Amino acid sequence: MFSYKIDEETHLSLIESRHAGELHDLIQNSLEHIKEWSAWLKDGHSIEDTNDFINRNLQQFAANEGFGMAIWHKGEMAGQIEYNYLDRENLKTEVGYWLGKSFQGKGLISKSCPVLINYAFDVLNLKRIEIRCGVENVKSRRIPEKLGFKEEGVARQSGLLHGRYIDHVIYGMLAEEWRNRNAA
Amino acid sequence: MFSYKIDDETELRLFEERNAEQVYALLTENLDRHPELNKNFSVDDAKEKIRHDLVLFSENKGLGAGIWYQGELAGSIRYHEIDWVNRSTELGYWLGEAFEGKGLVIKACQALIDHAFSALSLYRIVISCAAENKKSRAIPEKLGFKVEGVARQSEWQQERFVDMVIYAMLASE
Repeated sequence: MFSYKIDEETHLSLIESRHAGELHDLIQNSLEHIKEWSAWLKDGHSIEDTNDFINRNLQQFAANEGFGMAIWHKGEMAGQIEYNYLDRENLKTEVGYWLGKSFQGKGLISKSCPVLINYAFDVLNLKRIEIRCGVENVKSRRIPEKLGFKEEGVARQSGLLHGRYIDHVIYGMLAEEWRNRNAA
Repeated sequence: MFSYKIDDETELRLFEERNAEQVYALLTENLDRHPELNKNFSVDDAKEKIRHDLVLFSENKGLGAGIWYQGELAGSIRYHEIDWVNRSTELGYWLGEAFEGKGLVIKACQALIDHAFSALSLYRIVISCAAENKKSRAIPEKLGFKVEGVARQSEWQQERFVDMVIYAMLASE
């Protein structure tokens, strides 16, 4: 019922228990695609895993520690975007995202990210947003690059992805950079 | 961030902790309407109420939302607690005096009733009002809820027990 409208075809909403079936189908239909760069998704992902995922996410929202949202396109669940954490001491967060395979190429992440960035800077009063991408995850890296994030460095062997450690590129955006960029 | 648009001037928004000061301000401006609040009601208490509703929401047992009119917080509406075994819930609401007469509570109730019956597949919705609270009772009456009875002396309000009228609507109605 509660959502954030991006355009006529696209909106964001919290993921509730009643969305479990739809989320599970989306994950199952794109399992290999999502798994390629998502450590949380394992082989044998069950409906109980999907339910746990939703519950953890809602608990995190209730505790004011970040939250994930579904990206909806033309009435279908297309993917997910989230604040991985909200660090109120250092006033920063990290944004993560994934899309079902058939929803790629529609600019859904490019449209959704600015919503989370604006909300983080303007409403939550954070100062810094990170996006971390696998070095070889070219599609994902295009998002912060298009949005004008600065490539700050490479965290070597910083994530365990299905049995191997991968390097992450760290992209950062500061509140004043985002405001200047939008004012320009 | 998350809202449900009712019309061009009115929307419901899920309460978040950062709304605590607005909730506190509106409640304390209308203290005479809130016999349930104690005299030392603070911003922290408002935050605690919001947290309570967020935890309910996260457990799929309810929700609390602000009613916003022309960008201002006007009141609140909530599912007190969703009973999934019996598929029922209770609606509660309050409104700041300055926002009366605009049909805001009726519209907000309609939205939450539709959501409860269609999206959540609930079967029964209760609204209970103090017998002497005519303004509050006008809501379920206009919405076509049926009076099921009066729970005598069932709530302690303003230093006395008051009778509560129980209204209910079934999905089939």
